[in-house]
Amino acid sequence: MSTSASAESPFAGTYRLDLNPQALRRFALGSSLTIASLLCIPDGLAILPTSPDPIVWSLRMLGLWLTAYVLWSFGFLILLHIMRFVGGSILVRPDGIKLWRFGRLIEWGSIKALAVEPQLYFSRAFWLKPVAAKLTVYERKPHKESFRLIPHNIPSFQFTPAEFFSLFAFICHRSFVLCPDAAHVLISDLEYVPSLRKAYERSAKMKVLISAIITISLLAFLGRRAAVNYSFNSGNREFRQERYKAAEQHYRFATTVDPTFAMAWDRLARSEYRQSKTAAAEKHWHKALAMKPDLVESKIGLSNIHMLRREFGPARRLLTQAVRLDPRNLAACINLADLNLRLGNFDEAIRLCELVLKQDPNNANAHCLMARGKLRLGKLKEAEELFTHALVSTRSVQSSSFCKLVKAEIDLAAGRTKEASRAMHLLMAVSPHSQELLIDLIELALSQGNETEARTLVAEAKEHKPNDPWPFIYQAELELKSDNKDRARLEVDEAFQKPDQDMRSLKSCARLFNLLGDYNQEKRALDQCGKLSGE
Amino acid sequence: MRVRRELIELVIGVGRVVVLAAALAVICGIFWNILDWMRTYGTGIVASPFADQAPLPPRQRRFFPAGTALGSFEDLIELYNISFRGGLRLGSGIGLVAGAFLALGPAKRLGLAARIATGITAGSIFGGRAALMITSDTPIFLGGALIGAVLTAWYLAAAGGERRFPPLPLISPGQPIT
Repeated sequence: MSTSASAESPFAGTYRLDLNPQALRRFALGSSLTIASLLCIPDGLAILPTSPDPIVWSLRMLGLWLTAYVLWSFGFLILLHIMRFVGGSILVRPDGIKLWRFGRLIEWGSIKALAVEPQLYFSRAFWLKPVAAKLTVYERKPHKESFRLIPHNIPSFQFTPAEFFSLFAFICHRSFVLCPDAAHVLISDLEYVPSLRKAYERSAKMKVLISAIITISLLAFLGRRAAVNYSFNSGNREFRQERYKAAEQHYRFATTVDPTFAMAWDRLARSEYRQSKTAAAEKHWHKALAMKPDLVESKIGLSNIHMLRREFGPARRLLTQAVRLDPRNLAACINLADLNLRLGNFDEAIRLCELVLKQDPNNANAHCLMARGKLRLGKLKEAEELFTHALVSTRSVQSSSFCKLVKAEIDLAAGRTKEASRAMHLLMAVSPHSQELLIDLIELALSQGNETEARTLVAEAKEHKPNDPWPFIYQAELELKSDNKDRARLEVDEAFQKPDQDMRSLKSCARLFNLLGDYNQEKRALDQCGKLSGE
Repeated sequence: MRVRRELIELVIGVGRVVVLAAALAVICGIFWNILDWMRTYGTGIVASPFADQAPLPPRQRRFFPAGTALGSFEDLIELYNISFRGGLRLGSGIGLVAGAFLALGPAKRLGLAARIATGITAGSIFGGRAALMITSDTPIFLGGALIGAVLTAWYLAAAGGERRFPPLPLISPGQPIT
């Protein structure tokens, strides 16, 4: 340390020192090496269940590490630049120093001690070369009847070594009339040594506390992520093999450990839905959306439940949101086709199925929905051809319950009542609460002339889904056959009052009103049908 | 003469943002698709380390009619969504933002008008791409782009003002300050 006789040097001007972009880039890249490696530890464990051999695991790990490295370095660099802009420049003024844009002026005379200490562990952890240092400026502030030294820290990694040394030299010169020739020093008047010691002790305790908090938080975070990702991936493996109960358990564990993990809530709901636990699935899909309101998969899942309940309004809202968020989502497209089919917009449903099949020619649901659409349009031959083609090209058509139901409907329309009956009763054994199956069974009973069975099934369907207009329509048909016009009128009135109508149900109501001679109600039903078609 | 110089600066500033953003979008997009392929290796989720070759069906529906201003923005979003699919999408987003960000550094030396125009261009890219992370909805995209443009133009306009003080002189160890 050499003293200089330049106390009266002209320091009339104000100088600025900006955070150096190259230094910030070096810090962002250096920290990324460590952070990416730490973040990859839980992922390394998590991909174990889905990695068949060490080569696959290594390649995936490399991909994960590079992804984390790029994302961290890029995101952190942007954050540092935002801080650089918000913080502004350090201003070295004739009367003192301002450490950041909104900081107050520290007068030269109030700086009573100065320390520059190397930060060895920090530099090693973040791959900083040369070793980073911390410049601490101790400002004297009155405290009760005495004073205390307030530390202000300036880390060196924000600047080039030359810039950092120059800043340090300027502060030395203005506050202590010294010109330093070494970078790591402690400068203080003797009278401030006891206060400086206290300040050091305070900062050492704080350092230990912060290090402990960071270590514990890091271990907890990494351990938690490892457990959550491992169970999530194990759940995915079980789900792909259609072991939904086991998958549900894994997803349940993942959501217990991390209740904010939206995708795990979605998958949990999906596993429950596949096991016909509709209420639980609905609750968990809502939870997923509470965590991530733009989660398209959950909106699509929930739309299934609403469609099954004939709540077409909420289903349409959810699917419209899903399509807005992801205009090319195939599942959303299929559900929209299903919704249109249920509402009676058969042409639109077929158009959507064709879109899906262009992208995914083996999609069993799209094939079967399209066949059902053709069937509803009265094009039985085309429906049969489509289904036969689907059977050849898509193996999953044979195992899908929905496709089996469509096949039974085709058989019923073609007059093959025996085959239709066998298939429907087999399906009933698997899904005893399916309303659309009950409705198909009513039609089967009517086509076989079995009125007693039809009446029993109508009563069951009414009890099962009181909001569905179709059992009431069939009841009205049965009453008309028995020439019980008053009872038929009551039933058709009730069917027409149901909130969630489709175009077919409204047309059926209109036809029944016509048969009963109520042309006003017939017109109202047809108007409502036209409105629905316009939507 | 001054107007002409400012105009040239403006074209340079805006051009630099557009060229850098577009170039890095393509480069980072391809790089990210390779990373995606590596991350999911063996699962078949990303079949090829390069662009997704699967045929794409036409859009399910339009939300704004073609030929209107909102419809044109919807087409622009659609073009981006078609061009950058799968892993390319996030990578291209990083590239777009990184390119625009890199172009901001030299823009600080330009005149006020050029700085503001550069800020608006780069900010629209930042905000618009951030909005596309959430949704492809046109009004939200435009809102994000507008917020980004205002903030970045303000940043660049203010960045020139910091230069009213000279930089701190550099001193070597042992050198007296005079």
